[in-house]
Amino acid sequence: MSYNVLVQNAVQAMNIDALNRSAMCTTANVDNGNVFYLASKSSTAGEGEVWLATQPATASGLKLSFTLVGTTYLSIADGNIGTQRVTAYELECVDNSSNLWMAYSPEIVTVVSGTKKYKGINPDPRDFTNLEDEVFTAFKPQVGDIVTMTADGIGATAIGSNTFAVATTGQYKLDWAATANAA
Amino acid sequence: MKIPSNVIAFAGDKVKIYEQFKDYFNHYHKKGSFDETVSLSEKENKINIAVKEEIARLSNLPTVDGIAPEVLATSPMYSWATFAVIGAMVDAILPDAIIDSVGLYTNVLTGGYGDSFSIDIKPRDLFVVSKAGKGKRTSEVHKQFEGQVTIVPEFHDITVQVALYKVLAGKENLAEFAMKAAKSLEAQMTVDAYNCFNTAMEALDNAGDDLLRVAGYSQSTFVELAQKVTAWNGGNKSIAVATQLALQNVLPNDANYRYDLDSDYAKIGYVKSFAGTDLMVLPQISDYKNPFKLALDDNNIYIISPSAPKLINLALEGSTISITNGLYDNANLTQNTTMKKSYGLAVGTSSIAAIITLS
Repeated sequence: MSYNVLVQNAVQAMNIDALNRSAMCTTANVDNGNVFYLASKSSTAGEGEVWLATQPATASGLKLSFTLVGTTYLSIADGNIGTQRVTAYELECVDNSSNLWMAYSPEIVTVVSGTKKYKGINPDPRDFTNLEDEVFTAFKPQVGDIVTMTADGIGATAIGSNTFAVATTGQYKLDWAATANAA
Repeated sequence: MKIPSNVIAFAGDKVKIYEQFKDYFNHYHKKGSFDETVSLSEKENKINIAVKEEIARLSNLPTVDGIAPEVLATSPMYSWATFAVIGAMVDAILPDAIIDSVGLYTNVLTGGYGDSFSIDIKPRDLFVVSKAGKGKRTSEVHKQFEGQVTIVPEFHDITVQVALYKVLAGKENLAEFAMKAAKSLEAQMTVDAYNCFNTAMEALDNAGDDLLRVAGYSQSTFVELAQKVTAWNGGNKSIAVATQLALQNVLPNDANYRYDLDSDYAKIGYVKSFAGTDLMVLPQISDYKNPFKLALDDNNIYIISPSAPKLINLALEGSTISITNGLYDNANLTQNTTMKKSYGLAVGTSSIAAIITLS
């Protein structure tokens, strides 16, 4: 199994501090490129500026949509003799009026063995995820932001002729849709 | 002469004998570097004496002169030391022997017991450049990512046996069986490395821009793939490698050629250089499990850049272990030697290569 790989091609969060937050998910691992609410802060001592990530839900609004700019690739040296390019999708944010956030941390993989954790021994970004109960960084996509992500970041719906990747209730991943989310 | 670190650790200040053995091995096979000023038979005599001394040293016997071999064989320390030395000698030559047979496409790595191996791979792509407007600070951010291939070696064993009665009658010899077991391990490693390479090559894309596998030889596809492999390997010149049978197919499309009896084609069976690309034979090896099949596919021509990073990684874990029980340990008066070598293989490269499959 591989995890999503995200590249922030051009995002407002590169220049605006307030669009970046420290976050944590206490129920699941969160891949880079996954989306969530940051509705409340952690009440744990020492985590005064850490926000808690919760899954997108219809009741809270799902108005986060990206339009497909084009199919591209990411160069990930997997050691194959043939192509070492992974299909990826360039997406432009067209709506985030529901104030959802997206995970994006530097891909330093943590290898977990039993209760032990080891960092820095695996450079492959496809093995990177933001582990449950660990603080990671998130940014709030703004209209006009451009990101690129691999297929692992987008849910089970086939791309087909769909041209939008949208927030979906009950899952952290975006999913393909024919139109932007209306509500 | 380079001796592996585990052999140096084993031999201490007696490393010279392992250097001598490696020199003898290279001389015997007429490959690699060896001292040409000393004859092979002279080296053999010297090594026989040196090996006896080394075994005596390890088994803490003051001397072995004048003691009958069957008596020496009942000494547990002597028996242990004999096979410890055989194991170390195998380790002294194995990496080089393997490199000779599969070194064109295989990177041989050595490590200690308990090690796993990881090979970090750098991306081979360059970044795509875009035209840009004049009043804009940055363009879209592009990134590339390293990958990693890991190898966890597995044990490969072989056990050989002799009957005591046949040994006493001079009909069987455990040391001979043990050396053959070591040779079998080397042969299996060679076949495994080739199979790993061939499987990866036969799975390459055969259509579109990614095309690296073409069915059927033609001069134009040969040249196209050769220049593609050279260009994408950063200018490292490609060569064509294959068995002799496969290489004889590398000829001009226009069949209006003539060759005389002094030509390369008549003498060695293939053209040594064709259309700017050198050709090199992969010596066939026997598939000793299936008489009299051959292990290398005679229908494949591989185009690789030997000076670019190798395509296959062969990881050797620790030293060769040889376990030999005592002369009278088995109830049926037999004696066993087990050779254990731990190794693993994986494709892991930043290079590209191509293949032409002949019909």
